[in-house]
Amino acid sequence: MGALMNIDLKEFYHKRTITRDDGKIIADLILEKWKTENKITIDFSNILIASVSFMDEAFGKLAFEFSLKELQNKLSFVNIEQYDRALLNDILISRYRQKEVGENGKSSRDKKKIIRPKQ
Amino acid sequence: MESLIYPQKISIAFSNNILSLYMKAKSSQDNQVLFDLSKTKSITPFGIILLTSSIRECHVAGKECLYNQPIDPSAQRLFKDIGFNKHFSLDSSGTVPPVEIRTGTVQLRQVTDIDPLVIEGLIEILVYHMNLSPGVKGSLQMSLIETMTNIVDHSGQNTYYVCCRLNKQKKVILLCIADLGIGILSSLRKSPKYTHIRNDHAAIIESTKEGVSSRPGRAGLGLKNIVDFLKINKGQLCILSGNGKVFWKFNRGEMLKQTMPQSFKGTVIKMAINADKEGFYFLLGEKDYIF
Repeated sequence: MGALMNIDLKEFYHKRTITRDDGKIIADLILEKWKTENKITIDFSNILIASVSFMDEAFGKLAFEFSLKELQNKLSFVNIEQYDRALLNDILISRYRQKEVGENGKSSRDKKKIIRPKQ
Repeated sequence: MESLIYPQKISIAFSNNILSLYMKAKSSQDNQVLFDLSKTKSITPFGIILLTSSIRECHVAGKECLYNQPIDPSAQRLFKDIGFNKHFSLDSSGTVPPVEIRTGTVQLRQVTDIDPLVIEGLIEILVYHMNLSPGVKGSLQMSLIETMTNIVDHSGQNTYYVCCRLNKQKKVILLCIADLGIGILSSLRKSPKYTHIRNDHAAIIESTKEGVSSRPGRAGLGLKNIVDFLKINKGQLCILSGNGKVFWKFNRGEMLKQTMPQSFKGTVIKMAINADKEGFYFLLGEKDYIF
């Protein structure tokens, strides 16, 4: 098991807009490394993303897969702008609330989208 | 009969032309004025309010107003949807609700005093089309109430116009509030604090600052909060009063001043609010944090 993994979002910053599809790439990367890494650090490089779609796809939907404790233990967000931090937290809190009341939880569409890494 | 021929597009981008038509309607010596909109293809809330104000000025002066509706069918529908036909009882076919959240429409409305229905409608539209935290929602609600209170308190008129419409293609909410009162400069000059303000541009800019109010002992927050919100939203604000027009394009960090060849006695406030759902608005310290 690896100790730490760093996902640097800078590679996406050359584009003018960051989309939901970009968020999916990050989510897939996190899921791929979930079992093999102790800690996954997402480095925002102090560049403002400010995209609800990206944040939701990249991190928000992880709420349907893992408990809050699991997310807090595994993920770490560094060099994140205050705005993005508030956005991230708001999305995660909304998704956990949704999960709690059973709204839009794991739909069959969501299941199809997420490919689990081989054990 | 005075004939006023309106252009294809009636929006703030053509404010010189629209104001010139307004002045012609107001100052015409003829007993009949024809508002010819046969060529018109699109109209914004700003355009609807200026057109309505022009007709109102004629009515007040006892002139008869005639109307050629747009030939373009989509423009005909737009005039109906935005409440123009209803306002002047031009057709009786079907009823359109005064506030339509999904289309982001608050129909053209002549408001007396503070109208909670209009404010609630506007806020519901913003909440539906944007991601606003409860704090921001409350702050905007307060700002709109304040803006409308200012109109009632300072314009010398207790009636004003409100109209709002979402441009679906551009994902922009266009909101216009206007009164036919005394204008910002005259209103501020009522207070000894602001007698140094010499022109309309300076008065407009001053009106967007915190604590500016001609009411003794009361600090205005309405436009200041709205300006702060539009800055974050990268939207636009245009205020037209007297001979001054100040246009803030927050998306480009620009403020443009234009001197209008025709003076508009009242005040028009026009906002363009980005509603692409990609933005998220909250007040500092308002959020819970898990990360």
